[in-house]
Amino acid sequence: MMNPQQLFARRLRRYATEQYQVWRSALDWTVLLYLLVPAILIGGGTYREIWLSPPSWLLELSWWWYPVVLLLPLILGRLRTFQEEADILFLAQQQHWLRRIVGLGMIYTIVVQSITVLLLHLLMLPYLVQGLGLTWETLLICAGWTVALRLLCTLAVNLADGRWTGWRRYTVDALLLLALLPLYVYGMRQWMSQPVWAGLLGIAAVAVVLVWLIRRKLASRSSLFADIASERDARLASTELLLSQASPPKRIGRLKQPLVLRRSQRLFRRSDAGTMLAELYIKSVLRQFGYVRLNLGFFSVSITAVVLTPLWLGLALLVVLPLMAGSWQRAQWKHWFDEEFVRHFRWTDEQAAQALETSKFWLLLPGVLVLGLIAGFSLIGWWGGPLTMVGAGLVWRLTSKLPF
Amino acid sequence: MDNQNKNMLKTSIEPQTDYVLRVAIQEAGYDQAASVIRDIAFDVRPGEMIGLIGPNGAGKSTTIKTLLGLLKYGQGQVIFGGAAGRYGYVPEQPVLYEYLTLWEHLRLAAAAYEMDEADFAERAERLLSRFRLSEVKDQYPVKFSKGMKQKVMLIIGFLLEPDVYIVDEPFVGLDPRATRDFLDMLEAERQRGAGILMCTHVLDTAERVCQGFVLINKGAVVARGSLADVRVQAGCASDALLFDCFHALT
Repeated sequence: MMNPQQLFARRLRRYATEQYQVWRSALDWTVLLYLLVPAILIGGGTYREIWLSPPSWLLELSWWWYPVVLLLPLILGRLRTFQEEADILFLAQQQHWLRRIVGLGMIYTIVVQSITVLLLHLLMLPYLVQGLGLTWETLLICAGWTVALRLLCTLAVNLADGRWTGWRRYTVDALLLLALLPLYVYGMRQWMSQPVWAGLLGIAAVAVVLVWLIRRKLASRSSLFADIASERDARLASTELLLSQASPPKRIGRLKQPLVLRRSQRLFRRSDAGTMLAELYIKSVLRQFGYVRLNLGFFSVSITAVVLTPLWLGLALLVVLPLMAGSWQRAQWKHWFDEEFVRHFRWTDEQAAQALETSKFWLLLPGVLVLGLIAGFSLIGWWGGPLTMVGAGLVWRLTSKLPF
Repeated sequence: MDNQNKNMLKTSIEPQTDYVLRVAIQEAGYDQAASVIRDIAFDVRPGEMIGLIGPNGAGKSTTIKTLLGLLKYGQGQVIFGGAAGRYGYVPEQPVLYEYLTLWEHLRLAAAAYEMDEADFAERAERLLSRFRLSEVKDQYPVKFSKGMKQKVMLIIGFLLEPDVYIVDEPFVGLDPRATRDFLDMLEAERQRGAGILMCTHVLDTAERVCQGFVLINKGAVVARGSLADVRVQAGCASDALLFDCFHALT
């Protein structure tokens, strides 16, 4: 007779097997031999070199880079519950089974989150030890604080997701993170300068809140559907990452009506088939959180890259980076255009080409303008901002027509 | 306007008034080695509703997919006639896109057929009102119930005012009121001169609304023509129901 622990172990094994198969399908032996192994060797050598003789810029990096780098794992933390669709049929009436599986899932989450935080610390060690001059005790306290706050964010967001839906859910999630992330950064700043016992006290205080949240989670009966949806996303995360060029758009969740352009408003004045196709594509992607997040991420990294480089390279990047984004945009468009509903109708090649060009230009224009503005301010001076912004927009007008 | 693919099924658009759809399939299937249907020939004339009927697995959906050019292998000819050679397809399973509202689905369909903007708005509003979906036009149709999704597919079909409708199992998921509305709309379109090919299992409704029938069994036509013709071919009495003919032939 199977018990909850065995069921959990079986699901964990299956998850591990699935992940192994997904990664193995992408990383065959040629990729391992020619890309991954050299990358590890070169990366390892570079790390050793940085550790032995750290570059001056690393030693001058401000303290706030430390918590800022770790904000992303805090935001992206996900509580793993290992619940499945069929649990609605078979386990919904066996609350103690569900509680036990969720409890084991929490232990799994704590272990995995701790390991990833420690690995990130390991990666940043030259900066933390040699740049910031942190002691091992301080480092352990900061890592512990990071794990505690990461779990706090994960649990708080999970409980909110089970309670609210639609725009309320996103608003509550955002408010929670807006409250917790400054607390995390503030704590990190304090523990870097305060005695160790103060840090331990801070972690203990968060641990008390965590215990209360864990008890609430285990007692909750209403979050089953949200947990199942989250688990489905977790299982597909690797596949989506590796097949990001080919994966279909994510499900819209429980939203009945769009959050963006709620009244099906028009974007362009023209109503020809190519323009209309472009308009509907633009609307559909603007409503996808994943798409917007990816674009914001891309342009954030681009802005950082442009600001940190010398003038000539910054200007070159202003041209090259939008082209890269445009190429990705083209791939996304092709997937949309192959959607069954869109293919349901007959489009001419000219209409499709016009729609691709129009949508690519307008979707990336805001990012290009902001990139140009900040690059201009940073590289040339106050008058350079508007000038570079207009220049970047004009160049993008021309380069967005390129067929790649 | 010919579309000749390598598998030899010739699909063409030839605007003319004798028929809106001419089907002459020699054989077709998912693979050349395993053809599913053979020797299927019939016409749909303007203002005529033809019922394509047969048991499960008889080849009805394969026939529809073949004439829409969706199958890999096919031999024969399909001609879309009528004034403009335009067809509207209403699939059995609603096909919708996640991130577009109902109104935007209609707009996409209208754009594909280069419909005039004012014409589109007037016709779309009228159809939404008729099918009682005006209140939800700014919502995502993927979140609708099965019946509502089916209505969306019907509205898209009606919006385009094509020369011929190809409708696959339209009654699945529709409530009685929507079924009535759908049949009334089809009748109005038939009066306008559109032809309709309707694949269905609802034999009593088909008997009532169709002027002609194509009965398919095991991938081939076993009877064709008016109900009177079908009764003769089935060896049934002159007052036999389509239901009885169906059982006699399949």
